[in-house]
Amino acid sequence: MEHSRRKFLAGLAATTMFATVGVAGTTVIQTITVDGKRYAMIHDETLCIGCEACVDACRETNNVPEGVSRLEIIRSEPRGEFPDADYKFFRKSCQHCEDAPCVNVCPTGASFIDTETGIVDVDPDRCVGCMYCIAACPYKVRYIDPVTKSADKCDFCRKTNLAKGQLPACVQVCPTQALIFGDLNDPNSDIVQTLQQKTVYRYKKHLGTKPKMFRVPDLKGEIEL
Amino acid sequence: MRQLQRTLIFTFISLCLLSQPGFANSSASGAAPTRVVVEPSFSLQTANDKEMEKLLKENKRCIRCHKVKRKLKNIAAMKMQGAHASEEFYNNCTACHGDKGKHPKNGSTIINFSVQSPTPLKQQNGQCIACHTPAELRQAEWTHDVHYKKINCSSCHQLHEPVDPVININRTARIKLCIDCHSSVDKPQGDQ
Amino acid sequence: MMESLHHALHFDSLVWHWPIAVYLFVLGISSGAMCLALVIKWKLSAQESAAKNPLIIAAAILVPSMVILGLLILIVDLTKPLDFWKVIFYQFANPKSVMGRGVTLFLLYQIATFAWIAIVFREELMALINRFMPWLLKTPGVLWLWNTIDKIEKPLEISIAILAVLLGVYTGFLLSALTAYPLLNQPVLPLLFLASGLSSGIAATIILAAILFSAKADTFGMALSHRLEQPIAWAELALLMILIIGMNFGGEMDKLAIEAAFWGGFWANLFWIAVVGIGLFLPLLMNQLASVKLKHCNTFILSSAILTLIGVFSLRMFILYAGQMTPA
Ligand code: SF4
Ligand code: SF4
Ligand code: SF4
Repeated sequence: MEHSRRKFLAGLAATTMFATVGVAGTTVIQTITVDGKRYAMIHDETLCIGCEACVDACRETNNVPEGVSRLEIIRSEPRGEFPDADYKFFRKSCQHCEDAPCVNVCPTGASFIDTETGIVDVDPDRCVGCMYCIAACPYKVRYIDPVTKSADKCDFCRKTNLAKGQLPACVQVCPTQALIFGDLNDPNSDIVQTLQQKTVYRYKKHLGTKPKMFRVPDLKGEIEL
Repeated sequence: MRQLQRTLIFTFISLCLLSQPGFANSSASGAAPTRVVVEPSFSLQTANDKEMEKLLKENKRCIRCHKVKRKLKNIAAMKMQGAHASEEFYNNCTACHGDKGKHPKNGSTIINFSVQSPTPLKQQNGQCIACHTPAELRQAEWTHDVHYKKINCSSCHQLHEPVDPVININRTARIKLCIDCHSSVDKPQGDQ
Repeated sequence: MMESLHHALHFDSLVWHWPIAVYLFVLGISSGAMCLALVIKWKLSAQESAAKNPLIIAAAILVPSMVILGLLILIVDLTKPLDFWKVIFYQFANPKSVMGRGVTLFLLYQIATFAWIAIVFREELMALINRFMPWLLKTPGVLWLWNTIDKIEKPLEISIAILAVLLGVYTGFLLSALTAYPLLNQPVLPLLFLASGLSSGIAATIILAAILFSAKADTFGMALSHRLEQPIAWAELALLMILIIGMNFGGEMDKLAIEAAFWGGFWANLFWIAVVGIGLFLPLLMNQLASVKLKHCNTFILSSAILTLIGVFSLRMFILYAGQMTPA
């Protein structure tokens, strides 16, 4: 964060209410931690073609065993009739909630929010496998890794690609650039720029989880919020 | 579920192959055929003996020229195998390609399946859809739904082969197929 | 039939299986039995010895053993049972975790109840120790400790009462902390579980006391326990009604959850037949109809206690499974 901005914010507390993105006339108010990063992702459902390249790339990069997956692309029922039918795609993966139920319930502190990146992660050594977090996650994205017997899920490639300074594997491989990853605290990041231009929604936002997975709705018919 | 679906499709197709060997080279499909069963839709083409006679004559004429390489237009020698071959009709070229008409002279009505073909996309794909119902297509592969109007079936499918190579491709190859066409140029997106 | 049973016991959104229901059940028994024992002890006249009261003996057996059993179930149900010590070691790593606070509660409760047993059964335990391991009393500090806790009997009992109630409430909070399931994420759940835990604790104590220590139905303790059962059953019914009606006033997902859980299907049948019918109505009805003489017969009290236990266990199963049927 450049100097002038820091000075400007100096009067505010470290954690402050700050309007980051204006979205189609509304404003998404978010709590931001000034110096840390706040990684988030956009899944542009209008661009997604349902090829599942992301699913395979994730499995390979993060060594996810067969039988479980960190993300799924859920294809809707066909909309319309052949030959004009088409499909909607929904990305099922961790939303990196800012108020994460999985973290709140974990009895050992194995599930945690990384303060530097805002990424929700699991410490496999500390996890005892009580599965409380799996029950608590409203997005049903967590699973027990059959090898480590610990709870696991998408970590925005925190321990793999991100550690190497690369974009998450799913983002890299997506042929249509339906996935955008970046720092919500950086006003110049692609993700913030995109959030300012496109209409987005967040899944099950009403549960108060403050999810950081934004979705550009494929606007045909009613969208499910 | 998808795995099961694929296995089913695979077995179905293998069964078709076993029961309908191509002409000339039936050993290509692996097991030697014992019995020839003609796809009912092929039989629909002929209502009476007279038409049957005409059909056989037409098909024989195609083979006469195309069994060898056509050097002038650089067309490879044709061999019909696989699910669409039919012994009864001498290969049944006309069922898909239409009547010979003026072919090989210019202005023929013959239907040619390829991207470069002068036959319009709608007509090319219309030939396939005459037998393959939308429901079947959707069940076999959902992407039929979204590609039918946009690309010709022959972009993915090859019917002169003993087995259509696109059938039963593995997951990785399938994803690569998507990426090959769908990639946008200015990547990657997002930032660190 | 088998098919629908399979469906009822295995579905996608199911994370916690039946061992958790057993866990919640035995913890409820422990909490209820402890409360009952304290009430009886406080009401006993000065001449009567608490250590001789069959109900208090039965409760003293149930209270610690049920908590230990519950913990064993919890440990075996972990994907890494051998790492269970981490739950104790890291219990304060996440102060917000209901399960973490539960672990703290178990530890305190277990220590406190053992201390209480040591006070109440002082003479009996002394006799045992003198016979089998006299060296223990010579160990420095043991007697002093024993005498010290003897002196704080009253405050100890009050804290145990609080801990026991907390334990009963905890079984409910464990589930109601799950925002992911509308039927579980209900504020009345802890109260409901406390009430049903009490009735199961009373019922289990009565059964144990009658069978092992031949408690008579017409003694003071038995009559008292039996008298307590009814208002608790009414309270349970009321809480269940509040749950159903309250959720009907709720959002779309609440209504869907109610619909799926209470109307039609395996779990709805279990609820109406086992939880409400067998567990609540039948004992209440029996009580209304039975003559005074019949009420003082052991068989009558025993059968009503067994019905209650069936009902409470069914309730635990029902809430756990039906609750997980509908995700938010
Ligand atoms: S989506 Fe689920 S696993 Fe991810 S942070 Fe939110 S509650 Fe946790
Ligand atoms: S399964 Fe592991 S990560 Fe999840 S709540 Fe239990 S200890 Fe924490
Ligand atoms: S961000 Fe990384 S871990 Fe998460 S789904 Fe994408 S590839 Fe998998």
